[in-house]
Amino acid sequence: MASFGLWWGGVGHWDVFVAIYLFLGGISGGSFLVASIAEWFGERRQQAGYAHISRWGWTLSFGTIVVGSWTLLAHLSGPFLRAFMFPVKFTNWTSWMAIGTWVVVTFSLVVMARMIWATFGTAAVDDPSGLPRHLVERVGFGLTDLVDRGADLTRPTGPLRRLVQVTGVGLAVMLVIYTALLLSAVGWLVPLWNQTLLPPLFVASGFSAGIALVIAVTAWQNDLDGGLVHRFGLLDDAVIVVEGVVLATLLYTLTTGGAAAARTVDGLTSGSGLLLLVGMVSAGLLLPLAISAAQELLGSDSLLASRQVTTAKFGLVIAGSFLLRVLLIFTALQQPIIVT
Amino acid sequence: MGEQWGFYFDSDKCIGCHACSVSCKQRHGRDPEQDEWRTVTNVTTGEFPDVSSLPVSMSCMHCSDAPCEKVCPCNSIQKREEDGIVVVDRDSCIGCHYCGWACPYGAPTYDDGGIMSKCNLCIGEGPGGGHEMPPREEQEDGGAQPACVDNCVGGAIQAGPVSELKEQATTEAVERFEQEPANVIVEANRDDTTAFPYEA
Amino acid sequence: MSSDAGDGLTRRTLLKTGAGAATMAALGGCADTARQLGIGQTDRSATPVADANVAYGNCWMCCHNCAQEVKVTDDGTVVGITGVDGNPRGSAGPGTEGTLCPKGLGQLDKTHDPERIKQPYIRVDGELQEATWDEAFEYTAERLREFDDEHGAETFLDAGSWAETPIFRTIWRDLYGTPERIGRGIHVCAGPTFVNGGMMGIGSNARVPDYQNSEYLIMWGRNPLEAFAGQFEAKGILKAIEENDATLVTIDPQYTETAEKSDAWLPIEPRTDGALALAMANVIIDEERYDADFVENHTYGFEAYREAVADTTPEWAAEITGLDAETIRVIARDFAEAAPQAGISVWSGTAQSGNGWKATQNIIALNGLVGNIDRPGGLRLWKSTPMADPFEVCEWTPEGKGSGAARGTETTIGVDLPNNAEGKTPAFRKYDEYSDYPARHITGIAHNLVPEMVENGHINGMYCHHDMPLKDGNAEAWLTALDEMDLVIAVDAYWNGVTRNADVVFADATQLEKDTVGTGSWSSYSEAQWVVGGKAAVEPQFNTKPDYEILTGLAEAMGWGEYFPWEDHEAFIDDQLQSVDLTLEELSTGEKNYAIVGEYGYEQWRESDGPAFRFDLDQVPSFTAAAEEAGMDTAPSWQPPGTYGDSLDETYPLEFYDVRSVYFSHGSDQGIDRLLEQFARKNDLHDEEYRGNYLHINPVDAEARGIETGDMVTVESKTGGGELMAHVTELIKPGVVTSEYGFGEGSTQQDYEGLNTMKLHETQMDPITGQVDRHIAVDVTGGE
Repeated sequence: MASFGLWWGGVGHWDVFVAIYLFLGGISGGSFLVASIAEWFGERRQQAGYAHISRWGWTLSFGTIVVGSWTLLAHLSGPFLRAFMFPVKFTNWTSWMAIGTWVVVTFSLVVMARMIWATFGTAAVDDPSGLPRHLVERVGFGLTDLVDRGADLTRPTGPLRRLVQVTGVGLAVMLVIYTALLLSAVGWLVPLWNQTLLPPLFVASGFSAGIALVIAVTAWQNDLDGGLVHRFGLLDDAVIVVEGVVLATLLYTLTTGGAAAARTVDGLTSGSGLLLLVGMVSAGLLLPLAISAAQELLGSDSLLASRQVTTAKFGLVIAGSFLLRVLLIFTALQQPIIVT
Repeated sequence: MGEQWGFYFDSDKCIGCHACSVSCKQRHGRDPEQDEWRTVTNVTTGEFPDVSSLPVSMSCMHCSDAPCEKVCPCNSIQKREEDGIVVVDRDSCIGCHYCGWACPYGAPTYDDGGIMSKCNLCIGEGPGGGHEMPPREEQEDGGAQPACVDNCVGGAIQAGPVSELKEQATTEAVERFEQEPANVIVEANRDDTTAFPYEA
Repeated sequence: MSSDAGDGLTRRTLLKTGAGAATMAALGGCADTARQLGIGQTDRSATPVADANVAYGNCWMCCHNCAQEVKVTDDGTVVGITGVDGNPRGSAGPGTEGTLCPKGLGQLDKTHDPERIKQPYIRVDGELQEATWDEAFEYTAERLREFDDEHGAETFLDAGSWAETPIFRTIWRDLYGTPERIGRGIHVCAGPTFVNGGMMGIGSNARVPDYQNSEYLIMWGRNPLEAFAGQFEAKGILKAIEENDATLVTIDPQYTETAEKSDAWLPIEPRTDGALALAMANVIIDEERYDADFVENHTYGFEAYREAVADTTPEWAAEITGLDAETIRVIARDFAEAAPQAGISVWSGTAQSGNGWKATQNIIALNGLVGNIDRPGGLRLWKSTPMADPFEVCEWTPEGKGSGAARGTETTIGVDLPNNAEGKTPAFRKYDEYSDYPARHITGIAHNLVPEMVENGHINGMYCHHDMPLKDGNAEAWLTALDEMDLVIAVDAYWNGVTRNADVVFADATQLEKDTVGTGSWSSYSEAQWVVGGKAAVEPQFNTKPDYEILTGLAEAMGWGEYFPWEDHEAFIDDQLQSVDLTLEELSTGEKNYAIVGEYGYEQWRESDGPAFRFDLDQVPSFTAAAEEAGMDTAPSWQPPGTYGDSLDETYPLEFYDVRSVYFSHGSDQGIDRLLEQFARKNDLHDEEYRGNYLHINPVDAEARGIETGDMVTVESKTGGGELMAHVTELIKPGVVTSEYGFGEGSTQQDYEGLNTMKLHETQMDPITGQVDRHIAVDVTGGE
């Protein structure tokens, strides 16, 4: 005699826009971190490359969070204008969505400021990493002068600068972690959104994607020194390894969970779920590490060490980071009700 | 603080007819193809001939510790002090669907203008009906009988102040209820309800 | 958390007066923008259902009269619908909650359904065209006169079914003068059950035992927790279980909702019910557990019965039925032990097969054997409420009615109806073409043979009223017959294969739009007679008319107006209610619309002479004649599947029969979206677009054919076939496939989605009653 049955609730409350938003939030925070690291090293070593990396870091971080904010709004099914009421409406401080929205807002302001301080006024440069100012110049209307003056007037120095740096890094980390906590807050109901493992997974994934994006763009636009590319590439590899370990642990815990965990595993090991998993692991973890290893072994003169291959490798890392978010949103399942 | 309201469900009496789902939708003016606020599912187990197919009727359980209320960024979802009924303020809901992930019972639906709507224990009519309505009253005091209770053919669903529901339930069901966060008393199965080789 | 809500409310209130006002001013006070932004509070305190006016009705979705309480707004829209407490059909008895099942709830949608037929149509130059009521009446009258001239009125078939007034019988039989009549009960519902029952002494009461007083209930080929004839059946069974600790047994090849609540489920091989019944009798007689007093003093034919079951042991039956011999023995013993508070329910499941006659005779015999006849908890001889015949009791002043001597101011009692069908014999009994059919000894027509009769010119026209014969048998031939008939008059609310092919379509109003009265026999009141009534809750919708007005309008056009002196249907109903000293007004006002009008006790058979029960039917001349021709005994006996009708073979190895569902009754509800949606949800296939019926098939049979749930599959018999969606389930016996009837081509489901199950069917029937045999040998193909 059957002892119990399972009642499965609905699935799929979130769509691809949420996945994109989580990805962009992660890569934005990661990019900011890369910019901050480059800035720190740039203060200690005299290599122009670091400054380029920083500028691209702020710019890309800003760009991705702006697009990300738009995709965040795009997933809402309510009346379009209503989301803009969030400053007065988001009052539930037990909800990561409310907290996170404020993190996004303040982070956006900070990264915008850092970007402007790094590319306008006395910090202006003609090379491609000064892109924000070049774009504003095209707009005209004396806007460039306005922003230049504003940047110079407000640019912090001394202890204030330290504060801004630290706050920025804190917000960047918060940004990535909150995207994980948003999911894992209901991890008690959705086994895939493991409360302990999701935050480190997202931080690692976001950071590695951030490194990949910023370094690839800087290398391409500013012909970044191969040594710097290599050093950041190694950092990326290390983060990827950490990411791999966390992901493996997460998948393992699913195999020992209850009915929903088991069914999630089924979803991940068949059909489109399997494709996503294989795609994500290959693109985000295995292939980049393999390419890096090959590059190490074959040396800097080989074909494999070329910029194109390195760029492709970084591209895979970014793709993998996106696929991870897609996987987490689309294969997630809620616990069933046990019916006896 | 008023008396908490809840549901009582006796699966021994549920015949899986879905009259509760239909009655609910009609009370609240919802089209046939819209998502249900109260869903009936047959939980089927086993292999022929050792099979069982137990119908279960599920709606918002007006949980004592409502996870939907905790995650809603706008505080659109409230568990009312007066009667414990969990209602949504459709004027502030932005349709983020977070409550959908938080609810174990699949109660939130979003196909009324993209904004969340769900069972409001019939303190009002229509999506959002219930927000800021006066305290829930029992039928003898003029309150509307919940639509699902009104037309449950088998008499499997009851609703009311929890103290009154407890009086109708078995001890085992009440004990189980008091350990769980949901505001529904689910009756235990009769031992010999399901059909198998007949014990003389 | 709740504590935050307090703050939230305060802020929102502030918003209303502060920022809200400012923003609204900034946006030019655009209300829609304010709503978009979520500023201000939308007033959601309106309760249109609770505030609407109350009216009553008696539900006619399955036509068994559960009472309805409806809420109607001032502009005549039905917005709410529910049951009436204490109602005989729709509740569990006095002081209990009245409810409505999904079908009853569907009446709300049906009333305002824009897909209904909205006005009359007549066929001109081969096309159906809109017509006024006067045009339609005139046209019909003309066609009927022509028909009589050309073919003779006696070749016109009255196939009126679930009309909400009885006067169509008056019109077609007494006035137009046709003896041809096809009804539901014997011909397509459960002929063997009704006729057997009548001959054995219990009328049609084998269907509904005295549930609430019972301690042992066998649902034999019945699923009353799903396909109940009034919700009181389901409620009564649940009550018997709860209050009497009754044992419930289900005998069914499918695991149904009734099986789920049962103490034992016997997944019997289809069409072998007769063997099981004989085996139970074998045990009960052998172990002397029968009611000796009743059997010896009040029955006839016990010796023949005893002889017939001498060798039909449980072991013998186990092989045939696929059941366990010990289980059979235990059930037989426990049933006899619990008797007389033990009952059996049989209806279409055991009757709609070729060997259904003997199956039902064998089963019904068990009741007489254990002596539960008209005893509490057993086989109740339900008594309905006699209605007065308005044609006999009406008081009217003939002024303006009729002509000649009928004019005047004197009050007359009664209407002098002619009997124009007198002396006319229906074709089934008249012509040699049908002399091979034993059923002509029993009844005046057989559903499956109507197409043949049309071909032979014995039937040339038909009146169809709230019925769907295309679901009842021999569908392909019936579709051709509809085409061939010279005149088809339809009264219906929905487009389907009959109305689309009719020459005249009279747009019927639906139940809430009519004054109605209802009664019946079985109910949740074991010892009382009852009536329900309802004044029209809303006006006839669109340009429809209540059927009483349609028929009297037609009568007027035919020159028969003098025979219908009532001002309206209410007056007619008031005359019907004279027998219980009530008017419709009295009945339908107050807090309920039903009345308990009489009481009767048990053991009513003590009031008459002669046996209360017959096991052997050798003294019934009509049956002995039919039985001889059919080659069957008059006493209970075993007739294997295939004695009449289909046998399974290699080409067609699966046994198909059709089944019922709680969402649809007969053939008229399959057009209602809300019910189709719920039906899809019940089968967990609502995410598909498809809204037809499903083929229920066991995984063993499905896997062998590469079929998965959701696949479109083809079912074929030697007669025909069709396509529908597969529903693979463990809840059905391997080797058996079923589907709900009333779908597919010609159905009321507007897109004709699904399979018309009777496309698989030809003329298989029970030879004694002509009842359609719905068990067909098929195969299923179409998986990947």
